Amino acid sequence: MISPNIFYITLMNRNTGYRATWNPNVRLKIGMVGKIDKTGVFNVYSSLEKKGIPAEVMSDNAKVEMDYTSHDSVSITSKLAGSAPVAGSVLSNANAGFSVDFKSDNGVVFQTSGYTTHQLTNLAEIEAQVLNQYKSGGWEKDWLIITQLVEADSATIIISNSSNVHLDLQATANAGAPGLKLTDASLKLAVVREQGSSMKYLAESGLTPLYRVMGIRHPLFGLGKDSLKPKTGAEEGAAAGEESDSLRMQEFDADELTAE
Amino acid sequence: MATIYAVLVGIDDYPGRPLAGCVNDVKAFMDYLKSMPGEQSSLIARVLTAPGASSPDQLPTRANIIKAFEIFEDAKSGDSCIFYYSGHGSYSNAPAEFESSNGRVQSFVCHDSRQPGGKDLMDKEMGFLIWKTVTARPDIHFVAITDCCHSGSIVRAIDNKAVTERLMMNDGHVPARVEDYLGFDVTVGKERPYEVVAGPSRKVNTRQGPHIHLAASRNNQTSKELMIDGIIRGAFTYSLLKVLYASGGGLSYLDVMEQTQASVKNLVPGQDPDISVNGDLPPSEKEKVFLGQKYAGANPKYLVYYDLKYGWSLKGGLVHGISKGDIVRIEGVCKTIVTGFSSADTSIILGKLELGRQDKTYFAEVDRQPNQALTVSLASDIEPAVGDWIRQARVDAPSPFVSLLPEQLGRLIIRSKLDGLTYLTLPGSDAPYFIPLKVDSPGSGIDFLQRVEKVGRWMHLLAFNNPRQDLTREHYSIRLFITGQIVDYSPKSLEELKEIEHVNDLCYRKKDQDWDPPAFRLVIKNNTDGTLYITAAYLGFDYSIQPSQFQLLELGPCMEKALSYVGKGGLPQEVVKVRLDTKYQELGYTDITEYLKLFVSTQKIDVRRLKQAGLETPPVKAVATRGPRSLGGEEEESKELAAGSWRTETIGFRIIRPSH
Repeated sequence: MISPNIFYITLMNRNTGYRATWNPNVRLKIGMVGKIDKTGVFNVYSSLEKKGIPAEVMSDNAKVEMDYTSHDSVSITSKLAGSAPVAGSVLSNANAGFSVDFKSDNGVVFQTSGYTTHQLTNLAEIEAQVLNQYKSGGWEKDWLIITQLVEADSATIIISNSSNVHLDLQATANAGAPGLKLTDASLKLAVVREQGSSMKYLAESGLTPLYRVMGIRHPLFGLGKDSLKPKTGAEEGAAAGEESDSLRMQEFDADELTAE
Repeated sequence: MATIYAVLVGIDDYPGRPLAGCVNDVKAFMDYLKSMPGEQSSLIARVLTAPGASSPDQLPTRANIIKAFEIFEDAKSGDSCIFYYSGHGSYSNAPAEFESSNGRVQSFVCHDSRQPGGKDLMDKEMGFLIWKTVTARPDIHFVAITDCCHSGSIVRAIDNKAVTERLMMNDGHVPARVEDYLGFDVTVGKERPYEVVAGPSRKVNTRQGPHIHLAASRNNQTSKELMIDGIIRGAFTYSLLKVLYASGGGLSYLDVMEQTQASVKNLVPGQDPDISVNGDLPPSEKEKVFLGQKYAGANPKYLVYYDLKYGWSLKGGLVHGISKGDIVRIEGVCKTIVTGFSSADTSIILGKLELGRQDKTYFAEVDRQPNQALTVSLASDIEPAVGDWIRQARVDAPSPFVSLLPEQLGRLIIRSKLDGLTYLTLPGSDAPYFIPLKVDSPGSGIDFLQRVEKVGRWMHLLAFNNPRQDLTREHYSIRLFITGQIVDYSPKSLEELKEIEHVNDLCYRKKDQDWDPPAFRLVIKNNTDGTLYITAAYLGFDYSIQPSQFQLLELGPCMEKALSYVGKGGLPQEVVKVRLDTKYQELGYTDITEYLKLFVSTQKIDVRRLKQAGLETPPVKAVATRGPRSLGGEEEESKELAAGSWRTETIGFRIIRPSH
């Protein structure tokens, strides 16, 4: 079984192009400065504000639902109140809720209802000040800045942590709603049965599950993997960036991660 | 119904330095040609690959590649011919007679090139094969596509400097003398492909057949292959085909290559695909549909792509009147916002989940904010009905380039006469900017405002400059040469101006009974240790903007070159003749002022979307005057240039032609 952090972060990057926050319930902020460790955790060291670098942020909300569930390995069955029970589920005839079955060891449910993108806009000014601080010793080469952040209005994220995970989620409020959504906070979903082990964040608001970073040096090099031969555009670009000491996007590379 | 004739060459199986993606590329390209949407009725192809050849005559040897050109002999008017090559490139020292090169010539490394006695196929030999094909069949359309190192120069002029990872070094497998080049003694019609210029030191010029060349990289770069979806592919061919499939065949060569460039940048660093038109093809050929004879439809949309330094970006920027906060609409995907600019022609946009992975590209429309608009007001005595139509037109067809302000607050004034003829003037003046237009309906109101918008765009471009002056006049220098009292258009006879004025007088000179038009030559020197690019747009007296008549100038460190104008014949000229057209003469003009807008930058700036046709000019007594603009800011202290630094220069020309 692939470690959940590796599977989740890699899957989310493949689907969205963003880095996935690990753990998913960690709340990141735009302008945070830190390093990404080998488990994919963004460890906060400072912020642009603390470093005296003004940050201009632009935000935009989108009322859309996004679903990056690994549907090939997860099945989700919704059950309305009064409908026939789902086979193998503990939800009774009167209950409303969901049965979630993970068909293989690695699976992810990722659904959001509405999200806001935050993005730094004064990149030229930030780059100039970062490079100045770097030259004067006030900025570490491996530091990364969160320059783009996705904040979910409401998100449900479930990551399997073992084989044969099965969950029954019961709506403890508003059970008569005609359409059930995993991201609907008004349902107050509660786990009424769990088989296997999983990480669950049910209809939580304000999660920041996805982000992008800019930095002088790619995290791979900060992890002591300097000898890795560049093989993708992102990595080689990072190497080029290192030569010219510029601030640039540092895209996720699966080689950054090792199992927790 | 047209036919496509194709010669496809892919070589992996090199002794010593094998490649792995070239035959895959040929197969993929062949698949595309077979499935190509459009009007082509048939495909006739000759495929030479190694491995994969089922007989010796299908091996991509030098002789077989040359022989394969015979299939083009059946091409008729309207047909397209493609030469596609994926394999190693090489270079070697040029024979001294090739004056135009920097001492080196490029070549294709054929399957047998490195065998004893084997020879490369030289770029000039490929040029000869294309010239011979096209000269005998002038109505066909020829496209060369090369996915190899330094391919930007492989079938055209040479300027190679770098030694590269996918370069196969040449150790004597080239013709020793010019006379040994393929086709040296050939004559087609009355022309020869190699023109010998006698003199103290013998020179040889080579002819170019008209063709479009799509190259995997520029002439000082390497082309790369990599594993994509489990198959090794050339980054360029993979990206090109991805764009062609996605576009459904409706994009112009320029748009195809713009998207391909974005895609390649996301796969590999240091490789910029390039497009060139060669022979006497006009630059406008780039605007034709890929492998089609028609011009692509006007595409007001901007490319959206992922930039590895800045993230999601839009290939449109300040120079196009786009400003921070503008709404970017990507049809069927999402809307987002412009957050900033990475160069004059590129915006950074707010990333969105709906945009997906970095390898996606889209086209978007931009809803601009009217913060750079030309402000106009209705005159106090305007006909009430005309005023109503204009106000209605603002609602029906809003323009970000025109802002209607209350009376007397606008920079320009809209006036009307009793008969409804409506015109645009300066405050306190009755002289129109363009011929008055009768406004008596919603449609005519919109027509009028569209003309005002053209004036607004023109004025915006004239005044346009980078508020952040990273690049200064210390980083480059400009010299302007103009024709003197006796008009002689040879470059050496033009006289250098001691100082370039805001507006420089260029006078017609009388010769016998005729008047010779004046001309100028603009020479720019790069004083930095990096590369500078100079793009130019010509702002006509009639508010036209011509962005593609001057060739992009690429200046290496400390290099000095003249800006080249490409006229109707398609041949670049350093000496640029300017004219006061007969149409202006007939309207009574003896002088007009036009402007050359230069974009000097550390990255290429795309200005082609600035193009606009001119307006009908009113007679001389009534025309409004336009103030000259400055040549730029004061000189500043030199400092290291950031990527994407840019600056503009505006050079005015007053073209004077006496009425008698």
